Amino acid sequence: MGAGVSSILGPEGEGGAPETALGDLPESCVAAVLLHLDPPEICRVARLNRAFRGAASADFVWEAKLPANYRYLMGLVSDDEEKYKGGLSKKEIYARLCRPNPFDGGTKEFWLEKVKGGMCLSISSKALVITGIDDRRYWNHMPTEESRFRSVAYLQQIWWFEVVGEIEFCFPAGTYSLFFRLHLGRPSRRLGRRTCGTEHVHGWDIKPVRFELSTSDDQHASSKYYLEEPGSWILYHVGDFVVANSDKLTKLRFSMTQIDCTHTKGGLCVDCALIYPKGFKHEKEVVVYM
Amino acid sequence: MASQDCEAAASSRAAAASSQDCEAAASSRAEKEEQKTVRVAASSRAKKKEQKTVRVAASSSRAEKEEQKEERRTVRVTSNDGEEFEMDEAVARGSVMLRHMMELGIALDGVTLPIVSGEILALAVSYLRFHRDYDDGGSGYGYGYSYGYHSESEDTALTNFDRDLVKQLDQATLLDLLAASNYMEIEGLLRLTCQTVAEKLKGKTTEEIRQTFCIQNDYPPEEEEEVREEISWALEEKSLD
Repeated sequence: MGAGVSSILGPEGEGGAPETALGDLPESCVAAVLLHLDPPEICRVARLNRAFRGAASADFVWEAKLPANYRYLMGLVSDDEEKYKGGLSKKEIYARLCRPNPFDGGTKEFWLEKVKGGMCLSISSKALVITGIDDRRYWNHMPTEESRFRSVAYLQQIWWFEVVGEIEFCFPAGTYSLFFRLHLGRPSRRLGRRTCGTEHVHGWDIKPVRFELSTSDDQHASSKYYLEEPGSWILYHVGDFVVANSDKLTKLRFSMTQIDCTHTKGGLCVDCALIYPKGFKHEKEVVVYM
Repeated sequence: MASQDCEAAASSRAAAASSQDCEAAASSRAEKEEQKTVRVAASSRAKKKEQKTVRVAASSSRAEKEEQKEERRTVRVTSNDGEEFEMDEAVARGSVMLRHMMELGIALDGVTLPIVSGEILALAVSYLRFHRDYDDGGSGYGYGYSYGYHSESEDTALTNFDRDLVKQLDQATLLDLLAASNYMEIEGLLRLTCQTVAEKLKGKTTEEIRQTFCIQNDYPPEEEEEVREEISWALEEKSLD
């Protein structure tokens, strides 16, 4: 802020002073207005004219949009590109963090959702501990474009269905929801059309699958679902957890199990576990809550 | 025998004399002591008198200052077109700029704002006055824009006031008020006006904003393309399918 004002409020003209326009305000005032807009809106304002482009790039505007632990997050970003080694503006940092950033050998990704800057995380099937994953009678890894990791775990059939995941991460303070992204049936593309093979789908309507989540600070959540709707990717909501401190590592353990051995189940694609800020709506996904 | 007497007499005389001396000495010492005491008493009385004088002088000058303080509890602010506004110092403290001027002692003869008109200053002063009653908590020291410490009805009164203040302003006046609150460093009013302007920007396309706010597009076509590229990350929709 500050009183750094040069000539504002328009010059005195012959026929009376012309009215103040938004473009007459000093850049610091325009930037103060932009603080109240979301990042995509701020970027749109940059297209108005050169003066607005300047205000729309101001560090103090973008610093307010970055998550509290953005330095930790930037530390995870692979700096394969030379230019990122130099000083990045706060806007460039925000843009960078909005891209999917792989870590842990590409088995996990994090990104900021661009409207509010909330943290999102995805843990691929390759990072999950799946009982029987090495036995090709039960499971195999299937390449597909329908996963951000280009591969999902496909279950043909099994008695003991158990998938466990763990992650330790610094989340910006807030509340988050955890999901498993699942698909009944095997998707494929034939002659440009998407098809879904449901020959192995069975057993999910007999007993529900139990989903569980726990944190290192003793938060617990769980849910149960009968898996339904072959042919669509569905996010099954496991539960929510709260992070109080942006600087503390939070350890999460999450799982889904269906270990009633009186029946087999199969025909399921497991893509990943997903963590979104609570309340975030991903329009393209079907989400199921208990 | 006579000489013995003489000697005795002499020695007794000497003794007497010496004792007289002693006495004299003693008495003279006593006198001196007395004088000293007197002198000490005198000086201490003088000191007390002195201190009394000092105390009287100090209290009278403090009383003077108090009196002056009573008078100087307001500050006069003048717009660039000569309109004068008199407000309590506690109210004026809501403007960080005025607060600093008062603390530095350069607001004693009033403050003139060369870039704020009377119309705008009137709005700013009414904001400061209203918020002083709610935000200050009576201490006259801290001035903050804080909703958290009030009852619900007070909060509603605050939001109603703010909303009504900006509602009836035309665009130019709103922008002038924004600029003035930035210049005068009135945090709450700056936030209020910025939020109001931001609301008018939301949901509009670039062209719509240009029309609403009379903004000239000074981009040559190549630069316009460059900007569109630069911000594409914020506008694209990512799809997994």
